Amino acid sequence: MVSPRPELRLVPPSAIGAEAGPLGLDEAFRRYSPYVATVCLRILGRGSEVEDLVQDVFLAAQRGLGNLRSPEAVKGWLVTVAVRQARKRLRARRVWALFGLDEVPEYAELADPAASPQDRALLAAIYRVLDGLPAAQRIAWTLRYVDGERLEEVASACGCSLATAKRWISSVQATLREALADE
Amino acid sequence: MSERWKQLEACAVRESWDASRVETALRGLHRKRRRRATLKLTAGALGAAALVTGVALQWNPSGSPPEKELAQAPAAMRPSSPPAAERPLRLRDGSLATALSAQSELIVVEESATRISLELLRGRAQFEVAPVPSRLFRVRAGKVSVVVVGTAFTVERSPEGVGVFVTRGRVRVEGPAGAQELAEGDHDWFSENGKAPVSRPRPAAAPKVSPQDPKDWRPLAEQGKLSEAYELLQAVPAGAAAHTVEDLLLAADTSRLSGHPGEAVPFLERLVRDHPGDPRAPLAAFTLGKVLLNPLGRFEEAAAAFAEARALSPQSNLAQDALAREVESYSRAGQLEQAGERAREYLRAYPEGPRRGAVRHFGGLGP
Repeated sequence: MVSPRPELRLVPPSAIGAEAGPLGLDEAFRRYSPYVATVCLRILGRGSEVEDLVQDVFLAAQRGLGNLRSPEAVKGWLVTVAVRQARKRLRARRVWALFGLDEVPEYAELADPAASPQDRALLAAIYRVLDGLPAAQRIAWTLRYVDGERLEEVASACGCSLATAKRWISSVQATLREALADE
Repeated sequence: MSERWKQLEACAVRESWDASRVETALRGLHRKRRRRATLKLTAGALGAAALVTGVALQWNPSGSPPEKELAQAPAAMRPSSPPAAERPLRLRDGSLATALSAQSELIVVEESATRISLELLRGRAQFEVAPVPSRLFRVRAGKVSVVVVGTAFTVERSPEGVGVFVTRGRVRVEGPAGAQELAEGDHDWFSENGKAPVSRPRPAAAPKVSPQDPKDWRPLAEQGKLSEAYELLQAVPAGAAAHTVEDLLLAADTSRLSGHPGEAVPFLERLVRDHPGDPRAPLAAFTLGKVLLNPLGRFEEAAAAFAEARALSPQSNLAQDALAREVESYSRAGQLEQAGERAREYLRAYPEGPRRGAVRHFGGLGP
């Protein structure tokens, strides 16, 4: 089963084109914030941080929005900025964790309400392992396997080469295999 | 470890940001943007003041009169950080300086416990000076200086001269033609070349920028201090608290999010009734429906509000969500026939809609 992609507040494609003016911040936020929120949640794993991160993403992305027209281009740009912003937070989180100041939530709540108990437990276990990994690798793997992005899109969002993205994802998979051998 | 993680996308959660959540987050984004802009402005000005003060002290280690320090400070080292129009710059002693036009340029030349010196390079600025008897506060506009203790005044610098208008207290204006004191309500123009002042209308005073009306609930609400904002909101006579769409939405959020959802209803109803053409009216109707549904349990009214939201914006994603909730509202009101009708309408219009499971359940249509 492939779950439906997060719904955007869509404007019909015919309304977007050469005649459409630059995308303003408010309009971009209304159209794309639900999508960005889902991406951020899947990267961070924590719902309490999502709204703040989404706001930071749009504030950081606003200058580039005026140059983009197609929804795919806008989404790509927003994901790239979201990855950058999320990376900073994840790195800060690891520092807090070193001092024992990071409170780990119940990741089981991340799963879709329709998910089976086994899938919920697997998702929670995976995020606990991801917490211990470098931010860049974690993000690449999450975009690939939790968000379902193609490898090329992962590399573009992470600002790295395709080879590097593959290497990071493989490294995370190896760690997960070892850590969750009994799942 | 099986390869089941490759199917994680299927069970991974998505954030359900409905229209209401989006608007709340958007307001938060604008608050954040304003806070960051104010911090940059203040940091830039204070950094500039520290830099120039440091340079002046180096050049005059014996502590010669400030006029000499100013004269020796090279223009190239003088920072120019034009404040944006109408954003107050708060100085360390609590005084406020506000640029009144986009062209205004004001720099902090010195800031210490005994002396604050500002230079208005161009444009118009308003000053509210904290009363500190031991501290000299001076605003220079070319060859004209305004020296104050505990007052509010406006200075305008133009090619024709420098205008000073005192809104509170007294100031002494020093220039090439001599010194003159101005009291509250006085205004005058001063020439920089020692000739007779040019006769012009008084410099326009800024809108009040001093501490906001303590009875105004809006600033507290915008800062997220919702409980305090709600207390003030309650003290305002009914119908007078909010009129614009912005204020009605803010008042509704203040009530709702501070734990008083019933008090949000009149604001939302008034917005939908008085501003049906505003692009935010559908959202207000939708939010009204949600509040009436949960936690107020006024199910029939909730169904009507969701129907209104759909009617106001029939082609939007919000309409889809509103129809789903209409089904739930009718079901919980015990109006099963209407619930079933609406459920069938939803499934026809949105066969892959994210709420189809809940719609089938509340509409009595089975799994």
